[in-house]
Amino acid sequence: MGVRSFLEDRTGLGRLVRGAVGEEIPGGARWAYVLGSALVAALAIQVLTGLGLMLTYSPGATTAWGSVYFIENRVALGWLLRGMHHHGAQAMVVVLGFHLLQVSLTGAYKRPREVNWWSGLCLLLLTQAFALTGYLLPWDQKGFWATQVATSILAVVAGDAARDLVVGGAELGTATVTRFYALHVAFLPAALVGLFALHLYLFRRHGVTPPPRADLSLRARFHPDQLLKDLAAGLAVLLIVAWLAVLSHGAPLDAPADPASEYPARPEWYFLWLFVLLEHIGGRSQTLGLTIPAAVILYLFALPLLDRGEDRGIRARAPWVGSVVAIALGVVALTVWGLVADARDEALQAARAVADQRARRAMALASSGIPPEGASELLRRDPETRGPELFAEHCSECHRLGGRGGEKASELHFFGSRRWILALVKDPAHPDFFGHTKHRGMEPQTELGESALYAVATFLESQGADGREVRDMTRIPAGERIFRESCMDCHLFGHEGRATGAADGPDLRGYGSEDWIRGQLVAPDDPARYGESHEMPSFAEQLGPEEIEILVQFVRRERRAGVSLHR
Amino acid sequence: MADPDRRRLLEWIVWLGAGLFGAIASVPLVGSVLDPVTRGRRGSRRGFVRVARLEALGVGEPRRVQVVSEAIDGWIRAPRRPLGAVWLLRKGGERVRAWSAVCPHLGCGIEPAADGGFTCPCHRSRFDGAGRRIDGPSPRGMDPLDVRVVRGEVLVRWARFRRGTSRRSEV
Repeated sequence: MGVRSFLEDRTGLGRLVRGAVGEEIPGGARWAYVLGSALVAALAIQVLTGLGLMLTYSPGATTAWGSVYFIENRVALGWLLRGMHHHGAQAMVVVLGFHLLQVSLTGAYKRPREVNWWSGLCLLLLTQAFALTGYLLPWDQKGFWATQVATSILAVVAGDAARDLVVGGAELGTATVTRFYALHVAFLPAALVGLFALHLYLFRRHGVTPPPRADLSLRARFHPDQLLKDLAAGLAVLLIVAWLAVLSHGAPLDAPADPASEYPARPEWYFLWLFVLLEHIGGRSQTLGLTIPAAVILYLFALPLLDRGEDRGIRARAPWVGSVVAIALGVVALTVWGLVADARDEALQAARAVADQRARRAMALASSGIPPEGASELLRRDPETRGPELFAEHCSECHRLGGRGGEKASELHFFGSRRWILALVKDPAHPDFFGHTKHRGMEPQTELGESALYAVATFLESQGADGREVRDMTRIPAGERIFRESCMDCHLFGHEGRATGAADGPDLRGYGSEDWIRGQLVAPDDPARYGESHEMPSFAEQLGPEEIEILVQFVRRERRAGVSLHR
Repeated sequence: MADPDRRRLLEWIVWLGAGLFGAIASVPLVGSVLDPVTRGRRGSRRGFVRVARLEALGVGEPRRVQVVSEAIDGWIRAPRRPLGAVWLLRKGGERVRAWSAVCPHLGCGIEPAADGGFTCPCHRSRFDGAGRRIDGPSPRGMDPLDVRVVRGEVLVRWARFRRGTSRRSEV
């Protein structure tokens, strides 16, 4: 007995397979029947790439983004893995749409295939659940905000308890990621296996639905006649998905989720029609925007009960076919509407550009490692990103930057540089300096002469210099001498100078240095600074040490922009 | 389609096509499965790390200290994370010896023994006070690490060694 016949005798697997795929197809094999198998092919791609992603992906608010970044940029072929999973999901939605359209247009849902139609619709909803849960998993801005919106809709429809149940708490966080992950890789796949088995079993039970006037005397076998066509379709899906993944070199990854940021949230394109319904048609009530899609789903479920005639010809079923075509056209039209409206929305495009900029910056920062506190810290600790945000939040109410901002305190563009100091000493009461403050003690120093002021400004600029600056050393000693002679009646320099009771000019030692700026931020009322006449609040309580540091660097950058470097 | 040979051929083409589909679709999966092997090891070798103050070490008393340094773990770069532990033995003056606390047998943590030497609690390997193997399953003595004493600070160059082999080699 050969190995093959031994195994067949003991297991009967060969007969099982032949029985499973050897059925006859009345009316012959057709290219028209390949859509279901193409869908199976897309599913197979999702399973195989999904397994690969699970090897590296780490669910959790602090780890998810980093692990996805790692997959995209470090893991061997990780970009292809994620790219194929991303485009495979889109392929799934597209093929599913065509499958649904074909079955409904040809009336294949009619008796005796009603239950198969319903199981198919359940599979459609399940696919949407896969898409919704998978979208969040990278824990990037796009997924975070889309989920924020989707779960808020859930709260409106089903109450806060339902939302908390899905989200895993009152706010989106680590529990949301673990829940969505569990749904995406275990609960939904389990449901999918069950529904898919039912769908397949019912398909085998009732067979294909040949066209109304097909010659049923033509006979072919599923294996190999139909399978060959199915396989060609499946390979086509695979190659398209792989090609798209290569073209995009992976899948998009937005900046890490940041609940404190602004983000132009938009759903994935296949949910855009729902978004448009809610946004533009439903208006403020949201009821209409939610009722329409619910009604569409219910209508599709009811279709086999409404369209009960024996004739599956299109002409005999004109109203039903018409209704399905109308729904399909409606979805397409709403999607196009959404795309066009977004493309024309300049504010949205500008916000999108900012978001893209943040995403690129996060990528660049991530390439040298992600802190254990999570990827969101990348941008929050980045002076280039956070500096302007902190300045806008805490400083711009009083200070200006390049002419924009508040009018209560000095202009900080070029702060501490020679040109800035020179302008100040010539006209301290100018609105760019102390013009709008209580600080009125300083007179214009023009009587010293242009050359002396230049030297003093050069000297003071050098107080904030770090090792990287190459300065005009020749003017510094002269500047210091003039400063000590002419300025220290009012100003301190390293605690020396300033006769008691004289005007309270601040200590200018280290003026414009990191220490000086930091001191001004945390203790502006220090008697060695503006003392009694200070109007600036202390930020020691309001901001953490890391944020103070970022602001210090931000102001230093403004200074550096004005510093005249010498060769 | 009546021709059985042609039919047979088509059946084979179906199986081949299915195999081709599976093979192509599995390419990125196989890539990420094999990633730890194909990406190449980063090696555990790194610079000297401060582990103790010299004066805190009593002469002749073994001391276990942690090596804490920057660590890269997947996508995470942690500025300070424990890499492992080291046994230090000050012989007198600035003469300090250091051994990895990782047992060369199967990687358990080595502990001090009552007789002044060391022992591994997992499989009872025993080492003398100079880290030499006395008995037990360990194939070699404890793994020595480079030590430096700089301005009263003890610095150790952390490394990991291949386990279970009599020849000592860093990994």
